[in-house]
Amino acid sequence: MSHSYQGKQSMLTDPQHWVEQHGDALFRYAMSRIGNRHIAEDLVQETFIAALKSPSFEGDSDERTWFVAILRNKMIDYLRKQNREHPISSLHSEQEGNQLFDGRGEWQTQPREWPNLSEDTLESQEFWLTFRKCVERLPERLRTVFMMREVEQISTEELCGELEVTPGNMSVMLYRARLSLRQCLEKNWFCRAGEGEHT
Amino acid sequence: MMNCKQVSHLLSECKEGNLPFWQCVQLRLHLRMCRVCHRLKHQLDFISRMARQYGALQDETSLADSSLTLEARQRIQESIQEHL
Repeated sequence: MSHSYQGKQSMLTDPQHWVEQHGDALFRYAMSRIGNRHIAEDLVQETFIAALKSPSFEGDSDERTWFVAILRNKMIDYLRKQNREHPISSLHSEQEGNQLFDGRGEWQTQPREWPNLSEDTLESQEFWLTFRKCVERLPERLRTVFMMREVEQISTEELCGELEVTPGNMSVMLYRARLSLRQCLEKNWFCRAGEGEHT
Repeated sequence: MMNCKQVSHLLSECKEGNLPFWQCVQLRLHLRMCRVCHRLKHQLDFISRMARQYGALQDETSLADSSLTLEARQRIQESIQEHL
């Protein structure tokens, strides 16, 4: 029996019900950021086990919020390990954007006007499904740093420290993620075939 | 004078809020003259706003259609059981 869990039994729901109550939500959270089903499942499992052992739940926050905080740390641990095993030092900004720019650094493939760009877009479920598909198409590490930075709003400084990545490499990864996402949204939503051809 | 490729990098970097003053000035000057880079800035800003909303939508069942498989559910349940 876990001593840590015993001490906070009155504040937490029965662990027997954790999977039922939080499993899918935590899985979706991990899945949307990591993009690999097996890894997302493992991270959810590790989250529950860490929760059983952790003495940090004080009952002053929502149980789900607490699980998400643990899961987020587990995701950062996973990414740090990935970065150690497969360093990204080979990333170099000069390799980026070669298809978009010519040899003089001028636009070769210009971003098009987004004809149906408006805040109303954000009300459309179809748009969000497209957005999700575009996020999912990003390579794993780019997707995760983008999600951590732009969605979770974790500072670049903190991310670099947590993931043991240099600011230069982080900057390149975020640049690549943002431009790839932009391109995907342009192609699949804002300037879909037959739309915006007149612009 | 910066070219458009350099500007595209700075547009991403300035989102991290630590661009040196002189680069900010150069960036602004370029954006005044280059409508394509100006468009890119507008689109990247919009993507940042979308990303923040996307996070909030993740838990909504309307957007999130994936869930744990039965096998994963059982495996996790057994693992919790072992650690109780």
